[in-house]
Amino acid sequence: MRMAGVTEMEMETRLERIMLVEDEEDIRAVAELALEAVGGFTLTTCASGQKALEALADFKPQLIVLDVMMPGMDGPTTLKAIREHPDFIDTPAIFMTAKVQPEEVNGYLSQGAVAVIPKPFDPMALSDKIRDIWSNLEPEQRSE
Amino acid sequence: MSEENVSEIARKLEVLKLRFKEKAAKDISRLQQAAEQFRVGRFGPNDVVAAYHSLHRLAGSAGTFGYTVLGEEARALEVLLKPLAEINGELAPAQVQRVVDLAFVSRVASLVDSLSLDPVASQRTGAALLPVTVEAATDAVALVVHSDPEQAQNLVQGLELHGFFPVAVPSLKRAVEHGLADVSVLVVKDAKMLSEGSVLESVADTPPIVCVGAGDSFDERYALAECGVDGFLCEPVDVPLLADTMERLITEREESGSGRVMIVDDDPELLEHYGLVLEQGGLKVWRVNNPADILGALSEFRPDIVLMDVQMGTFRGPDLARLLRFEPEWLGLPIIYLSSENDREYQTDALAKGGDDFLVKPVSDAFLLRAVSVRCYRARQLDKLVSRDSLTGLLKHSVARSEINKEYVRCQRRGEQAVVAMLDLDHFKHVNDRYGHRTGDLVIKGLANLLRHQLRKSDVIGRYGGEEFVVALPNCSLIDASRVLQSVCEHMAGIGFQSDGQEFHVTLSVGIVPLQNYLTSDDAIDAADQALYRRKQAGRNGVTVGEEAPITERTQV
Repeated sequence: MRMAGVTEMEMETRLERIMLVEDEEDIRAVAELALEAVGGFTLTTCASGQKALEALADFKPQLIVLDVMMPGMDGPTTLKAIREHPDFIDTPAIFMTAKVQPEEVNGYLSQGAVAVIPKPFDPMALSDKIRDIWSNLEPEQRSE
Repeated sequence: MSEENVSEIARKLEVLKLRFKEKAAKDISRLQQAAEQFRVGRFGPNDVVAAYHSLHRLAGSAGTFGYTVLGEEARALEVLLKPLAEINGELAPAQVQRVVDLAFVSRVASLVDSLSLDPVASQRTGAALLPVTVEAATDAVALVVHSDPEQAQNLVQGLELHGFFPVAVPSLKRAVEHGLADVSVLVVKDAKMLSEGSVLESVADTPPIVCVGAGDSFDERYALAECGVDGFLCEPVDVPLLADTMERLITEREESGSGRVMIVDDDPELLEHYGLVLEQGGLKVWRVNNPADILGALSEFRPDIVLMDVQMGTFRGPDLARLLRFEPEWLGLPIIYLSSENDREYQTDALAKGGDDFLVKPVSDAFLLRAVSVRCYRARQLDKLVSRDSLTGLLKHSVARSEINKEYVRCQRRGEQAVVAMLDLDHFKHVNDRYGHRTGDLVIKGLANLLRHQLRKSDVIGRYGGEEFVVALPNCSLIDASRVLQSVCEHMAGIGFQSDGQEFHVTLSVGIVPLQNYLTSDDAIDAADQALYRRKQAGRNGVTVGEEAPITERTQV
């Protein structure tokens, strides 16, 4: 489909492993469909920040997507805990949230996220959006 | 992306939407009750925050499932409630009542109306989608119709673990509205079936129906049978048994009318006529006009039965049959002669040369179709008996091994990669000793059904021995295989099996290796077995990748 961009894409590190931290079962299910079946990514979903921390070392995500509002550990707290792990200090993170006032977006970005995806999202377009975010990252942020 | 994948994704999305709708309806009704209480000043310490979170969730998710109006309205209500939710400390009733007034309550109540608006169909078409790299497993959608929401939820959760894609719907009418074309099976509370079963009369092709209920008298069961019910289980429902019943009904349904027939006739017009009659009856037909083509056609098409004219120019059917039997592969293939020969002597003589049956011409179209369908079904059953394990319906040891070898050869030829896995139930002897063999068998069937659902149609699944299974995943990377089988392990561990009112769980150990990295397919199977052994030593319940195989290797599809 993107034949023209093939050489360029091959030079970059491909995004394959995404971790999604989201407490809502419905959203996890639709994100699985959106990112695995539609996007072809390898996805691990975690129902809580705690679960994400447990799964981190095994799965070694290249990109982490976090829901902001979750019971227990919320998204920002989870990200902070992830950052304490030396292997994941720089792993790009994206917040997903239903609140997208500009000042709030800046707040999330200042907490170390590379982007904010507003909820609700279109399941058919989510993979494209994530690929866009990935391709706009600095090369050194795109780890294997 | 193939059209099939697009429609598969669309179908799954529909199921998720439906599931969201059912859940949102419950959330809204709970919210409405809460709001009515708030309005009269009745609430506990966390009630307002809980309502706020519930609205926030709806605002964030409804749009994803196509309920944009609902999402926006929930968002507006969330904003109103937010200042209250952010107050630390006790709320005064008056504070809450200032926000949650009559107007607020009625706005909450009317959220449910926007739920009945049909979700906006996604404008995007398949062309806009990105390629799919991992073929989706074929989930069987099961609609659960139960009068008790809690029981319905239990069934949904239980069936999910068995690899079904269950959706709870409140009535049979709603099930019909949802459309039954993509539904593999209906699970219905017996009383619902008796009172609402008539709505199914308008549906041309209903999926198999399994009823659950307390009534186990002859009269009650007879009434259900009269309604066309295919299976019945007593409540409380033994979920593994239910899953097994559903599985059996789905397989039976898939196999009826799906026969493969090869017709050999030198008369092109008759050939075409028979072909059309059988195709219209739902059978797959391969036409052979020149008898000399028969061997090549057989290898390619692999029919259930062969329908053959007795006299075809210089060729005679019985001699052709005899020639086929030269190949051990076709020794078991049923050959049916179509002949105007009425002479019993001649018929017997022809059968002695390797035929199986006679259909005497002229035959009516209807008779031909029925006669051929029945023989296809029968041939398939027999074939299953030979190649399939009777308990699980999976491939037998020797057949699985030879299928894996075929896959190995394919990998070598095309430079593709595949994964072979050995699976073994943990501490299975304890299960048999403690709960008896009947229960043990149910556990084995449970895993077999789980594998059938979670893996793809193209995957090879075999029962290797007692509690040991072998799986080959064509066109699959180690990472993907590991993920899929890890998920099988998790599902398996989650299934609650029952024996004498006791619930117990059984876990699964798996060893995997890349099939193409070994000298022979048997070497690969042995290596997978060693990986399995290491998994057992490392604490069971999970997937271990064979050591020779670097995990970094990955498919670039």
